[in-house]
Amino acid sequence: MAVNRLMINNVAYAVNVEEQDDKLVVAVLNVDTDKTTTFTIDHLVDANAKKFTMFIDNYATTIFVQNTKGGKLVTINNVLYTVLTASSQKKSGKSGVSADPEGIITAPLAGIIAKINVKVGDVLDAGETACVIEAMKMQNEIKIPIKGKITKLPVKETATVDKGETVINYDPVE
Amino acid sequence: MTTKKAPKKTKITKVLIANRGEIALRVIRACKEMGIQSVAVYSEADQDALHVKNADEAICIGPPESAQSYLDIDKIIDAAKQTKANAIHPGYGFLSENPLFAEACAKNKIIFIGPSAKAMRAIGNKTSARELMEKANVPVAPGKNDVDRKDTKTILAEIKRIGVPLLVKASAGGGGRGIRLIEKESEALEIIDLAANEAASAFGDATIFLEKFVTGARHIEVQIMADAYGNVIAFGERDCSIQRRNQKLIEEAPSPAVDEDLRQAICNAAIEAAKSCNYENAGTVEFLLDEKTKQFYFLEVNARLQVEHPVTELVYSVDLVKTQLKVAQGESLVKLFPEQPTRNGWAIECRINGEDPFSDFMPSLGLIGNLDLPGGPGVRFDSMIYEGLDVPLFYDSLLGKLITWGVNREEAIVRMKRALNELQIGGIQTNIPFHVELMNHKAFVSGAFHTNWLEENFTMPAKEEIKDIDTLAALGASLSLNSTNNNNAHVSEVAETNNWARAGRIYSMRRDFRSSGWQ
Repeated sequence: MAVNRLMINNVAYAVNVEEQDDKLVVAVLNVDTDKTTTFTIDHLVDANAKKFTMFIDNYATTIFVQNTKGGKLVTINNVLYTVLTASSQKKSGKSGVSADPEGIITAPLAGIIAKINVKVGDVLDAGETACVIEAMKMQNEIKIPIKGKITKLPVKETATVDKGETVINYDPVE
Repeated sequence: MTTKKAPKKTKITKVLIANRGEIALRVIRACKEMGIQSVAVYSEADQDALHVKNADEAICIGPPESAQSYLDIDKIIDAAKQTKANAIHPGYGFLSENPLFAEACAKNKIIFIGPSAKAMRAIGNKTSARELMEKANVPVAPGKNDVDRKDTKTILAEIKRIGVPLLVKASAGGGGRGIRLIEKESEALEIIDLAANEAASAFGDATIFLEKFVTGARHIEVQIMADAYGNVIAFGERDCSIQRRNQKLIEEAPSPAVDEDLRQAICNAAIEAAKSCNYENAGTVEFLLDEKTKQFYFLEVNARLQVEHPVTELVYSVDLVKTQLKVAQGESLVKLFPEQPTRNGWAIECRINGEDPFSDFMPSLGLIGNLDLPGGPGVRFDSMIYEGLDVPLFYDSLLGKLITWGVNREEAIVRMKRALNELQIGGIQTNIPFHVELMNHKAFVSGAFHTNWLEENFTMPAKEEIKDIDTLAALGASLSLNSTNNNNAHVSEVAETNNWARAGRIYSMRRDFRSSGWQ
């Protein structure tokens, strides 16, 4: 069976699943740490490629998988992971705090643009609020990660934005 | 107990629920048990909601924005008239504490299941509430009412007088929504602006007020029920001190910090508070308790049913919603409760929210692809979710409430841990991992905490600290890819090598069929 290459939180994994004597032998390689974890799955209950219950040493673990843009949403024991499976993905190599590339701010959550605090040409210090996204009645302040000059406002107030959509463009200011 | 005015009894035959989510479903359940017809109202974002499916009738009242649907009095009254509902239950939030709504009901000869508009105004207006409480010998915390956000001079003077830290609260708010903390005078004006905007958007009213923030206090509240004849019963206290940004996350009854003497004193104060404004129906009187001095301060009256009412229901063996309906149709508490209700055991509630505890509790929305429900002795799950529901982003993040009962606090906690483990929600990130952490936390287990405790002392462990979970996530995604690509051939073959696995597979398929079909 083919090796699947995946990405979780900017870390690349290679997963190899092989059938041996009616069991599944799985090897998961963390490319960053070069560490391989292996499991032997005695039984696997697969409900429509969505819910997998694995029996490892008589211990059952259920993994729930759901499709999302460019990958899978995986929930294990109420913890959600976004796993990128798209072949076009590139590893950025950076593991900074802000996931956004320099020059743009993307919406960290889906919501409604409640307020835009800036206009094109404004210069903001690092950490200043650029706009406010409202979701589930909570106002979330969206801050600029570094000092920058606003160059473009691609969304307007009251607009609905998806997670990852660009809400502010800026030029970094030294 | 005393008797006043002649009884006015009108039997409730059909109730319109002016709300959504788990509370709408809670009221529908009470109606069904009493043989009363129920009408759901819903916005365009809620057409797949559980309350819509469970009510006897359902009416769409407009677009997703609350202001044009759940907060639109005219549309709701019209829906009630159209369906010939003779009573309206407002739930919590939305229009539940809006006296204009209560008046509109009265004008249209519809029973409003809650207090009168007059009582709402008396306690809704914080100035008159303070005066009322002082007259009734109920101690109050310092504050400033009716803040005009443009009058910055007065605001700054009041902030100096009350002293930081203090809270900005939405007058129309409730359930911890629309509250912000001011720690420094310099940031006050900006925070007040933000709070007012949030209040306008969430409650349709930008009015805010200031209140002294008592540090290290516990949040203790008393459940009261009052009838049309002046009888008031207190169903003991709840402890809601586990809060984050003034949002309650865990509630319990009774409180680990309240002994029998203190309980008597707080319950008596709550009864006096209710009597001072001729309160009717269910309400909650909130207090801050300074544990060291045993001194308590009146905070506010929540003129409605609370989110956390089930913990009281479990320890007092009472159905508060059915009691609300009975009291609203003119029944007397003396007849409903010939003896003072007694308490038994301990109950804890965890609010299950669509929030990511690993990422500063940011809202987590989307499709709930998997739902495994908890069960067994002493477990109750009041929720709005089912497999296949796409949680809309227009409303609050409460997905459901997990409540456990035990003979004592220890058993309630152990049971909660078990139930939290049974409850599995897939496809969105919930705050269940937070609750699991908390149920295992020494301070929570010992009962020694206050309203700031969570934010000052608790840190959520990082996702990466959970052993091998990233590895399993990668494995799961990989299995899914292979499974999809190979049309299940490989894994199915392995899965059905013994009867147990086959039975498991059939069970899983049945669950899937149910969730997509006729649930």
